[in-house]
Amino acid sequence: MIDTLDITSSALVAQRTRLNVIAGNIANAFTTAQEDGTVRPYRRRGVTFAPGAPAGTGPGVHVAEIWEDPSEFELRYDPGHPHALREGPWAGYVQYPNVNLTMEYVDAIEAARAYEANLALMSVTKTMTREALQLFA
Amino acid sequence: MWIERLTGSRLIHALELTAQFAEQRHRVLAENVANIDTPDYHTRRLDATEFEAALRQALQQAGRSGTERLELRGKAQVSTTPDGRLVARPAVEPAPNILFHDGRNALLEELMTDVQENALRYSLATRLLRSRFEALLTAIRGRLR
Amino acid sequence: MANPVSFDRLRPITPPVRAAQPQQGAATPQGGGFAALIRQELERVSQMQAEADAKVEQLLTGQTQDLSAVFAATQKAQIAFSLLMEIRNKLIDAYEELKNMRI
Repeated sequence: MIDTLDITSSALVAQRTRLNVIAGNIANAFTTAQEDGTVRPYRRRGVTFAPGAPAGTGPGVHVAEIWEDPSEFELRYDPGHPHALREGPWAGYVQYPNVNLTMEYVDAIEAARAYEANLALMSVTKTMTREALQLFA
Repeated sequence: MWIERLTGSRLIHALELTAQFAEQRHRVLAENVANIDTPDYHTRRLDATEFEAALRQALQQAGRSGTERLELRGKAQVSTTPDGRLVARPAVEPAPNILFHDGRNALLEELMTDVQENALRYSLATRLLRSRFEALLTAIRGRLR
Repeated sequence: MANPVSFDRLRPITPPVRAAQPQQGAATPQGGGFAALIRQELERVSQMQAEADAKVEQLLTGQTQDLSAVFAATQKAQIAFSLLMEIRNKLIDAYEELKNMRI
């Protein structure tokens, strides 16, 4: 029964990581420049799950990869914007992150649902463990 | 005569096997729920109906041959070791069984329902085991207090 | 001379004396009846236990979903057994008391 707790906790960790990445996407949905001032927008990030506990310690799930979305940035015409492109065919346009807020919200709901399900399952595991221990009492 | 009824070790063995089965099934279900969003993951399953059928056959067999130890045999997913412990071999759910776009085939609602039903099975088995042992102790002590 | 006390009424208490006599195997109606009664009740409890066991087996093998029927059967067997235990204890206590009586 104990290793079942490990399986579920690996899922909680993985879904929490996914939620964090989604939160980062939402927070930076309109970030048009980097921290150091470089005029390059935030690029959407995603996670990929893979079976097995982290470090191969048994069954469960883990985050195999946190990747950057290669799809194109969004362009909006706004020559007055400090981050507008100065030259090239897209001069006067501002590059916005390739984040679709609606999709991020749906993703977040899905991640939260999976998290809740694993939490509920862990509660059942604890009940079963308690019942098993009562056989000794 | 009635002492055997009370010890009823055939039923106790059946209860033990049921508890072991429910425990192992819970583990399989936990793994499925953990991987609910893992691409290309196909659920594994332990069939409760198969276990029940195996248990029924084992009980009938033990009744005929007059033994107290149960033997599960003839099923793909469940069997018993020589000393009576359950061995469970989960099967992988076949791929065409409702696939999502990323290759998964799990429905969270079904899984969580299975978890609850399985927990009930476990609870039943352990409680009945406990009341059996308590009844035995009462008979041995001779007094109800 | 009329006996103020009829000794006929004392007969039921005399089985231990009678047991010393040759026809020991033929127990008195009262003594044999009581032993047979206890044996009969033991059988009944044993039977109820068997019924409860069968119901539990049906539940474990998926042949029935009726939890309340299983519960009722197990409780009945439990209570019958407890009752029998109490009767046994009371009988032992009564025997102890009788044993220590000064006649």
